[in-house]
Amino acid sequence: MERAKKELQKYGLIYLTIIVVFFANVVWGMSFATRPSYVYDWEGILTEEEVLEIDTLCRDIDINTTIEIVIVTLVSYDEPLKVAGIDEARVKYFNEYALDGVTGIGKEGEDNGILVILSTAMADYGIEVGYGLEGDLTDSECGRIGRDIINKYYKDEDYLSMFYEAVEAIGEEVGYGEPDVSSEPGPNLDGQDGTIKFYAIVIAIIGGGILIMILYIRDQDRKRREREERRRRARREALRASPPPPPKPVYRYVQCPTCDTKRKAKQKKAKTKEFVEDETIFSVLFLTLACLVCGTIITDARNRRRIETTTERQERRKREREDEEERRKRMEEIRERRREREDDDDDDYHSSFSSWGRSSSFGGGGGRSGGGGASGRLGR
Amino acid sequence: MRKERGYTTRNAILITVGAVVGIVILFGAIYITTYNSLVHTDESVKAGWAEVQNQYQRRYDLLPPLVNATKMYINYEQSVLTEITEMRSAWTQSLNQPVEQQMDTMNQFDSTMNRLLAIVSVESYPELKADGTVMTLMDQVEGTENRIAVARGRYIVDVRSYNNAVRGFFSGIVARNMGLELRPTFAAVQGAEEGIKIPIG
Repeated sequence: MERAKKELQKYGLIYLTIIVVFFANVVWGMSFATRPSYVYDWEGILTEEEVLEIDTLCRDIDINTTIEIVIVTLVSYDEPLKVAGIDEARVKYFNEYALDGVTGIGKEGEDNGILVILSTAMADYGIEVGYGLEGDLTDSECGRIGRDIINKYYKDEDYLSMFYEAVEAIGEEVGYGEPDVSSEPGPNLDGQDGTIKFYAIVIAIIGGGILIMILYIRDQDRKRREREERRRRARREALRASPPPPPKPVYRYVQCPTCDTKRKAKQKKAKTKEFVEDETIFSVLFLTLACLVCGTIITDARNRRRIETTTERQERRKREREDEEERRKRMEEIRERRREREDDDDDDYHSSFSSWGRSSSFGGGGGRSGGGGASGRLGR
Repeated sequence: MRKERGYTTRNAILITVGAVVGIVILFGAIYITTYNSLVHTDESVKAGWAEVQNQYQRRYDLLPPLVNATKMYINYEQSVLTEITEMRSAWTQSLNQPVEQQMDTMNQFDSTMNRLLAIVSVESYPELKADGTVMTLMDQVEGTENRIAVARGRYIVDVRSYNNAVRGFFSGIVARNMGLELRPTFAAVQGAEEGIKIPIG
């Protein structure tokens, strides 16, 4: 009885360890589950550093308030989505287009996303507000942000200030930076992450249960075998101690070599017994380690935080230089384009896109909007 | 020999019963899934329609303050003001009517709204731009028009999939059992989803 109780305690402890380790890992991974990126500068009007600066602000807003503010600069209304105008572009890019594999801006169920879409080529801008924020960021406030911030900086071609201040103004409207919000810093674990957390618990409980079952069955099996072995040994000892049974020459002849080998096998087992006893603990340690490693890999993949090798760094620098070159060229094209547009109002500008549609499994996304917000013409 | 035949008969009976039970279960499962998806589609159509009505209501709520705020800049003709009043009362009355008639009223006055917004434009009255109230109202009206377009577009898509389900072979039978009927939809006007372009700065 005492033994059984002890056994139960041991397995309960192992089970709990597995659940806790797995769950902690998943949650830790989840806490970084934000959008892969917030700024999609397809027109190339921002430098890498400027993109990073705006992206950091947007990410901070997401982490603190779970609100996703995404910025898109469109080259034309024909690609990547064919839309009729800025109003349709707002709704379509907000709800239907997969930005880095994430469709829908804002958290699912909360619909707390905002899209700032702009096209210097088409001279249009728009702000689309998710259903969940229509009360906080009204159409007139969007219109004001458009007129007072976007158009103001457009004249100076100061796109960094334009987007940065627009995002700041939007953040102010939706409660970013207020003490009651910032007093609870830390990872966002609300919204759809809650469902994932729930699944993580379920998986941990079921998976842990199965593992424990396997361990338990194996252990029991081994113990049963050991018991049988002991019983057999005892029987043989008894047999040897008691007066020999009526002699049966043939039987004894067969019995002897078997007995010998069996005794050898027995001794071998007895030697390894302690090690076998430890096997359970080793497997638990191994599992814990495996969980940790898996969690770390997942988390790292989520954050794309990789340690670079020297060659990789060189390649990246080279790529960055090339990107910079390309950006400068595109910038030139856009300026050219705008000059042309000022001459005649006919627009059919196309440009090739280099990198979008990287599919990934990041968090966030799934919010919906219904046409709330404002649009306007640039340069007025 | 006899025993063998007994065995085969029993096997045949078992197989038949098993097959019948299997088919019934399969059929039941398909029926339940179809039923559930029909309920879901029906609900989303209803919600879509409520959203359309909601946005139209918003439009008509915004009209009087807009007219009031712009009155000092714009010399409205009497006919325009009458039309606005008509538009609002027609909308209020149509709320008690069947869906088809509500849609007619909606379509009928969309063009009137267009005309009104063309009058109240910053292009023709640049001094409107300086008035904060007017700009705020115009932003709201523009937002509402855009929302109407989105709500209508989504309603059209929802009703299309709903009507397809109601007309479909198996789901049609289920729908008839549930007492669901085809629902009316807006005629998809070319470019209706873009919304109405309001010339505003």
